[in-house]
Amino acid sequence: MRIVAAGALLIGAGWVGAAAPDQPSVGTRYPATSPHSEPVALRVESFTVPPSSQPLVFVVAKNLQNVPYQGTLTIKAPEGWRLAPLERQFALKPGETRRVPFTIERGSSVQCNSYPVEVSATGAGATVVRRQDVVCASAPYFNPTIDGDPSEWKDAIPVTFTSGGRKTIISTYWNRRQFSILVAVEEQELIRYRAGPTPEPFDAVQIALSPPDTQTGNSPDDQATRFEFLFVAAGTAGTARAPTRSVGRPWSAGRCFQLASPGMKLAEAAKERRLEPLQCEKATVAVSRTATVTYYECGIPFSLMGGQIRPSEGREFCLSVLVHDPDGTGIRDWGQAAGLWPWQRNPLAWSRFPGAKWGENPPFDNKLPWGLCSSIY
Amino acid sequence: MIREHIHPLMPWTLALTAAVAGLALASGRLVAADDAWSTPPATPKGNVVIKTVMAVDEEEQPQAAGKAAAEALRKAMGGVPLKAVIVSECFEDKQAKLKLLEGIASVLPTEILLGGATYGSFTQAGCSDLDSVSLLGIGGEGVSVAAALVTDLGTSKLVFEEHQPEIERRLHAAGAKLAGKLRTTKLDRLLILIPDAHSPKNQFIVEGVQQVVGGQFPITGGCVNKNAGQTFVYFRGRPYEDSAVALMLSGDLKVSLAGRQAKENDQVISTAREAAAEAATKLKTRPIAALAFDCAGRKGRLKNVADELAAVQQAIGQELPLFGCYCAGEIGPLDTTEKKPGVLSGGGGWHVMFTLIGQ
Repeated sequence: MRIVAAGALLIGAGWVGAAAPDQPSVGTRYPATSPHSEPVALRVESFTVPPSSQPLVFVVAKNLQNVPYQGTLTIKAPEGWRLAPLERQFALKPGETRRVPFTIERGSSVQCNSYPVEVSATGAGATVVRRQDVVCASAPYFNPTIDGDPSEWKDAIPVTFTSGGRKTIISTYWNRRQFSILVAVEEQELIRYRAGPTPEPFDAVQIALSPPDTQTGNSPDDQATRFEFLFVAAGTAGTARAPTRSVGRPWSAGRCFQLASPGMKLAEAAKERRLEPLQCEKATVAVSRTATVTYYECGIPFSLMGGQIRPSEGREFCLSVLVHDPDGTGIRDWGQAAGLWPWQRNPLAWSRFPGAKWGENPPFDNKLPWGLCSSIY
Repeated sequence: MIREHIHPLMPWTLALTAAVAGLALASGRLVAADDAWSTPPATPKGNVVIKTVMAVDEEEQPQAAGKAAAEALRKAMGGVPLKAVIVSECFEDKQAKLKLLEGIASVLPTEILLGGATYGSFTQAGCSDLDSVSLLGIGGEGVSVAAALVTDLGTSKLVFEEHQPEIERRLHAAGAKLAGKLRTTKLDRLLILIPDAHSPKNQFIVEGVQQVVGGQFPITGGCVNKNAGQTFVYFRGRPYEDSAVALMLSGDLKVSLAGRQAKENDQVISTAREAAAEAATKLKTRPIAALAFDCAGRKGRLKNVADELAAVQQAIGQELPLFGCYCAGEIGPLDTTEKKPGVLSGGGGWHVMFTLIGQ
């Protein structure tokens, strides 16, 4: 029996050189298995409602072998929690990925929104262990004023991750008409977007929202399944298009560009396109700044998503976020912080645009679970 | 357009109904205080009429929707004066909710309106969410009702993890106070509890009520919508925040309760069917109405929301008046390993709490 502690290995630098077997990039073929030798890969998905509401927690397991896998899955939750069942038998065909649910019968939410869990699978002569800090990725119901003022976001559920020593905090709200997001980016300086034939690198937040149960295609000819937006700081204070009130802090009008919609060819979305024709007037963006933090506050009408994401309590969808910090950390990727496997990087998952400074490797896939909940109270 | 969903077999009634109900109340038959009221004792073997209606507002006219629903309920009661009306509404903000209540109260006596904001409703006619209202009307000489309100729970902005002991203490006290305000009779049969106490807080208010009525007494109900700006319970036609209401049904009634928990599409559907079937099996008499306090989270897991209703209908048919609503926590027989022995009802989440009322 081998014990393989897979925890940090899977999300650290050890992945470099591996890539997505299920999701080949343009012109690149990836190896069929992970470079690691464990029989299964494991990860735990984010909760989509607060743990005190006793949701399901899903463990995702992938058989990395060319033979069937049979094993026992156990999950260790934070102290004081009770999960049921204590263990689950599961079987996977070669290469198969499956979500295995456990019920949180007793759980508690914490303000830092980070929950250490340990999941292990015993089978095929090995025990694979993965430790993760799982978050609750969920938007409470609220209708914020989009003005760059973060004070209205205290009842959101902040998702915090650190890249290159800098923090990013994603907070979300929803109401019947609009999905709202506040991304707080710790960075040295804010570089604004300036339209032009060859834009210089600029700071931005890129998000992808997708209906539940969708996947990013494997081929450039496949169709996109995401609504993708880019938020940037533009203009100067007082020139806002939409922000409605000043809050005594430097803020500027933001701009939103819609980069992709379901039905687009993935190859088209992945091609670098000029931003100006992609301006999305219906979305509202305000960008404000404190000494070291830039706040991107954005409202996206659900009507832009054609009913494919239903604004209703308890509904799930997919959301991922890239932060562009070209003069600092480079790309910050929620997919990486959420523990996607190294081979789930996928250049077809995100659109390209002039002025972006991409890393050596493509970002991770954009299909991360997110929920619409009612309240933290 | 206001769409009314009325059960096809519901008898239509005379326009005099509201006048009769209003006269009965106006003539002093309702014993009332600001925070509690009751109707005269039930007549043994008297008839009991329970009807449901639902209206969907497609024109952003909540007042008209409320009026339409109230008129439909009045007709559905077939001339039987109403003793209590439970409101389940899902409108966006307080202004719309007040308009809705105004519309209902323009037809029905304000004093007998109680209920709460929910995440939607369902009846035999279908399921609804935003901009809809469902009414449950209770009448007939065979049933008596007592209602009570408790305000200032002091827990609506407390977070469970940080303030659990305080929440427990406050809701135990509030539950006991609420139950203590209800007139009691030997024919008390079912307590319907509608608090602002999102699961898992709801367990504590149930325990508080049980300090007065006992652990074996049938209690069902649902917690009101917790969306910001939408959290209201209703009593005597007025909205209250951070409050709870209770309605006791008394008479020659039989009730059977069943609760099931589920968190995934297929299980949500099958457990709804099982809960309804279990309640039907246990009732041992002719059912006259069904109540289903269902979790909004369960609704969120359904690929097709109507599938759960269809499953319920497989168990109870399509003719029995059904009052269902989607809640922020449910009250009834828990389907968890933490269920306390010897205690019938508790407060939880992810449940459908199904009750059949028979005579």
